[in-house]
Amino acid sequence: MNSDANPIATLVWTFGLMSLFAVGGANSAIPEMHRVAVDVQHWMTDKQFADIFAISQLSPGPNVLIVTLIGYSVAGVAGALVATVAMCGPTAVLAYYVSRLLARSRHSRWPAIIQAALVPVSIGLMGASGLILALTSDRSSVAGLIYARGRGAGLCHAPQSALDVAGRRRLGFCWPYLTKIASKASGPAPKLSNQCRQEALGERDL
Amino acid sequence: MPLDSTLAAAPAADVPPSQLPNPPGLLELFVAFAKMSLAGFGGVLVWARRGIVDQHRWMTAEEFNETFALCHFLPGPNIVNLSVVFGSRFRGIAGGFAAFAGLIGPPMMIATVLAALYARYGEIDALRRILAGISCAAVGLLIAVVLKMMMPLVRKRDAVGLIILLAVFIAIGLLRLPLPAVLLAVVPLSLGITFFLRRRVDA
Repeated sequence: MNSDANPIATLVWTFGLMSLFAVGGANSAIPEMHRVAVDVQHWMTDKQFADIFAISQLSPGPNVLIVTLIGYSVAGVAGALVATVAMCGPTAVLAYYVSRLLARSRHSRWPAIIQAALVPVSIGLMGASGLILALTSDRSSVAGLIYARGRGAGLCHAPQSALDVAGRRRLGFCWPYLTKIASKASGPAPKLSNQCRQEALGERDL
Repeated sequence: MPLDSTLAAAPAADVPPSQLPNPPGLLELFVAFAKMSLAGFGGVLVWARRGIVDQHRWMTAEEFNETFALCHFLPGPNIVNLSVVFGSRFRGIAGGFAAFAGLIGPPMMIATVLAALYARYGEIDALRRILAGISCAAVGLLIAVVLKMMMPLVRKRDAVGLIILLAVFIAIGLLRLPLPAVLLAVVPLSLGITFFLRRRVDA
């Protein structure tokens, strides 16, 4: 951390602001987290960011906990606490007041318009998250293979709602894929480099 | 900040609670959200629906969808918004805090422990390879979700939506512009166009 200001204050400011701009949830804010943590503040390297993303996916709880991990790496336990509260606080207060407001004017058409306007924005942000994470993770053929598997799987099930699927898919389908991918990649695939193969084997040890 | 004491002075939510004989108490809210949160690896929404709608019957599926839709269009982590809105609907501000603390507290402790372990052992090669594998799978799934969410726009031939989507993707993903600046430009634009188009359809 080479910011001249107090790191705790920087965390509060960074994530407090990000909280109000994370349209579509924590995954939409990943490009911004990466920009701030790696490019602007130099809190961590690309590789560490990718690791932290993986840990946040691995641990139970909401995806927003990636900020807990970033906070910890900046300023220890206090940083973890401060970053999490800063990321959740402003939007929680906003949600509280908006839900009360909407309860009074239930038949307003504004919620539908706002939602329709924000959907493309949030998909664009999540797409950018995918791109940036793909670039920070290893650019190996295993990665390509895994993306393709995820993509293929993503298109062959018919969901009731995309929101619902977002959670269910990650939850239920992740582990079978991991093992499938691991067994595929460790087979006689000529395109894989040695390092990639080891990565795939590493997964299987889970 | 959620622990703002000035908020506590505000009157309790005037959202009518669902017709329940005994709405959940503070401790019950905390425990229920802690359970959902700890059950949810990689995402809590499914477990939240199961806990709130199926198990405790605190909301009908319809009420849940409505609440979730609201929390989705608000910025920030959706499930955090949901916990606050849900908790405050039954028990006012204290309920919002209880649900929020249950959702975030226990997994945050786990995440902190994992972060400490990573800080200590993160350089071990085997661990890095495992994490690289997990992150590849998670990214693949994220991309799958993005494609799936995009399909309705493609099917509707929503050109405006797709252009906005692409513009955001390029600005954030390729040009790496700051998020607040991009959103301050794109969101009003998108709102304006949507409002204008809907009015024309209605007229």
